[in-house]
Amino acid sequence: MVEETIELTQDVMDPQIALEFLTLEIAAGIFLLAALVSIIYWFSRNGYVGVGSLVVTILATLVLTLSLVVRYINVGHIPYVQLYETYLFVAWSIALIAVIADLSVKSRLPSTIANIIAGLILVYIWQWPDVSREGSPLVPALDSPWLDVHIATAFLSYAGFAISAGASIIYLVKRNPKVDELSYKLVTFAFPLLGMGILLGAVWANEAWGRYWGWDPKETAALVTWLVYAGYLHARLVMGWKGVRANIFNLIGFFCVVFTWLGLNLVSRLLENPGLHTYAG
Amino acid sequence: MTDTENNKNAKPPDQGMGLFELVWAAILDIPKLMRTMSFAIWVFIILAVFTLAGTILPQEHLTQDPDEFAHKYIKIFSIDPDDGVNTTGEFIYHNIVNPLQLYRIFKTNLYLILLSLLSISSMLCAFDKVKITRKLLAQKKPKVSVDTVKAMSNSASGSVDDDVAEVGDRVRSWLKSHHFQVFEEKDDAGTEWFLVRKNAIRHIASIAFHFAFVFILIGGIIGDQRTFGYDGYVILGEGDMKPLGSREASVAADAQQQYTPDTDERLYLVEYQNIYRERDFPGIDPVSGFPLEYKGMPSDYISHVQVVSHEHNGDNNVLMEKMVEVNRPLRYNGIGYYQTSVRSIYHFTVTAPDGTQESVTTAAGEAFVLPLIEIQSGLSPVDSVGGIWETLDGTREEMPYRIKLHDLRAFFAGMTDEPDLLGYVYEDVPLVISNYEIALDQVDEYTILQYVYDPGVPIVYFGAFTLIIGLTLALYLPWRTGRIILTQSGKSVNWAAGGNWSEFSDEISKSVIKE
Repeated sequence: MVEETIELTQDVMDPQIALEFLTLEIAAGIFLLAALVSIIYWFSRNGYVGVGSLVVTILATLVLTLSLVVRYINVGHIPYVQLYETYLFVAWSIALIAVIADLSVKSRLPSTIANIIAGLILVYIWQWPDVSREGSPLVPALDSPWLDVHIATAFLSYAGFAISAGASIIYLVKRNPKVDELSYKLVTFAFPLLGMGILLGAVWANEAWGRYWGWDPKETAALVTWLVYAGYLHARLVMGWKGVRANIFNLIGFFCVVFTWLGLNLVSRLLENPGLHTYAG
Repeated sequence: MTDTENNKNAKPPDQGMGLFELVWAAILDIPKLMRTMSFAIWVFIILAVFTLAGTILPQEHLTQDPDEFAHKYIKIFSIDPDDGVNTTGEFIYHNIVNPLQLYRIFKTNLYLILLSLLSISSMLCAFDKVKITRKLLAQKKPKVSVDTVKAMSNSASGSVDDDVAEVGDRVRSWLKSHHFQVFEEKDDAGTEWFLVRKNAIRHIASIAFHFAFVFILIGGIIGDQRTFGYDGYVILGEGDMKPLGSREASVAADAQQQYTPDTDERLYLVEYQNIYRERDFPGIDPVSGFPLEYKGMPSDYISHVQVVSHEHNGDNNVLMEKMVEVNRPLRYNGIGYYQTSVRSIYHFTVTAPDGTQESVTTAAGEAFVLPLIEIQSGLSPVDSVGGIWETLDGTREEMPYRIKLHDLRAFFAGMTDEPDLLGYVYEDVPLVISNYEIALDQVDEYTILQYVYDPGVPIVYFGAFTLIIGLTLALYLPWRTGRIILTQSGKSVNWAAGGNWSEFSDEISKSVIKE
């Protein structure tokens, strides 16, 4: 009887949802493969392996893009409303930015970092129960084009900071000046984007509620994160910081990013101080 | 700095300097102090600590229940004034949280002062950037070999019969007149190295985006309720006419007074709609014809409002008309009206088996006691439906009310986490509980529009725009970088100049070296 019920549930599962989950699982697999090939590249330094790792990364990114498109069709809005969706979107942003960074700095380092982070994120959310992965319609307040650009810029900046933090960790181990430079360049990319994300959020809040800034916990945490990175850039550009202390500073900034994205949710719930940005699911 | 030092040397503070002069000297030093990086860093750290507290601790809002808010703090700091124990939590609350007003930190003057100090300090520091970048240039090592200079993308070299000191002077004055940031080094053997860079737009952009914070702050202050801004709520039932938003109306509302404006303009609610869309629900219950429960929340709530002239009552006196929805406010006379919330008031009648009747009125989200049956009941704000149902093909029809009643007895007794379901009351089908009938008589819908007047918004937006554009230009515009080496060799000077743009070496060779 129990078996029959399970079978029935599987039969009833919407083919589009099944396709979404399947593409996600394939993407997770390819990212892990890409991570493996990238690591082999760093040990072998074989040019063909390097090109191969980039090709696999691009393939994984394309499959994940497909998964996001299917999810978009399934839930009827750009998937970044629930916690599960934000993980998906951040993984995709990291992969996308890594591919662009790889091609522009002609190094396999960004994609290697991205493959590891994106692979781990996807494997992590793959195990979530279906109920946490279920989509939901947008509540009226979220139904605005300003929201789309606000979240897209914010998450792309998170992705830039994530790869930069990965580079910083590698720098602290390897002490390679090129890696130091890469982590800095990624911050200069992500920093204006985060600023733009915050400001677009302010414009949207003004359209929706008539106030551009409400000191909502998420708003404030994002501002603090931005200011910490402003401190990092000043340390580098004005005070000439480089190497170990600059990279530790960068990691402090990334800690703020993770706190803003995930930690705040937890703290808000503990202190019953939810704010407007607490994720569902 | 030098002036101050001279002053101090001439007139030490403890010898003949009056209190006024001391204070005045201190005031004169404030701008100097504020333009140092370490001042900005310290203000930032203090600000960050307050901000963190404000992010973590619940902050008071106009709309929330003060008791509920107080309860949160009692819980967080384990405050129990009656137990005679002074816990750490109580100590922190009474000595830190309360005196510093950490429960409303972002609205305090202290926070505003800190923000202002940081903005002004960062702006002043940006002006000093030329000096700072000189220090940075020093790190870039001006001493390089002639081959390095020759290897630059545009370079030239040669020899000229002259003295290195004179050529050096000419180079220096040319660089100065062309606004380069210069770093130079010399050695005893008569070699001079110059490392130069410039990008005027980049420099202006940097000053501009540091300035932007001041604009944002000024806009924020102008729009604040303590200065020129104000806000408030208009609660409207269908057919209601209320005064437009104004400072006087919001002051009167705070004092819980009736307010009648001098003007004859009013806000009029033509119709209020809850719209439920089939696409947002898992489906319809074939038996009841109601949407299957999802969140039971309308996809949209829309207020059809008009700004009308109070004196007349024909069609011609409608000054403005708008369907106000979330994200789609009405704007009139510089004031925005935002669909903030809704309030549904339900009127039920309970009929006992013996025919006795009693009425109860309650609002969505409130707990109440069902008369006669004496059951602690409640309505969740989102579990009841009724309004307009939009099917997948876009046709709309009236959906009768279905109110979900909770039985809160076990929940209040702490026996369950979720309230139990008591049953559904339909618009025309009463709910029967042990021969008691609960019937829905009437539903009154009120729309709550928040009005906001914020004259600072354009200034804030201007600041924000300047910030992003300036920041991007300052980070991405490339420097024009050049190097020059002059070496005395007998009676002539060997020179080499190179830069990352073509005119540099040409200009140096034509205008400076061979002059």
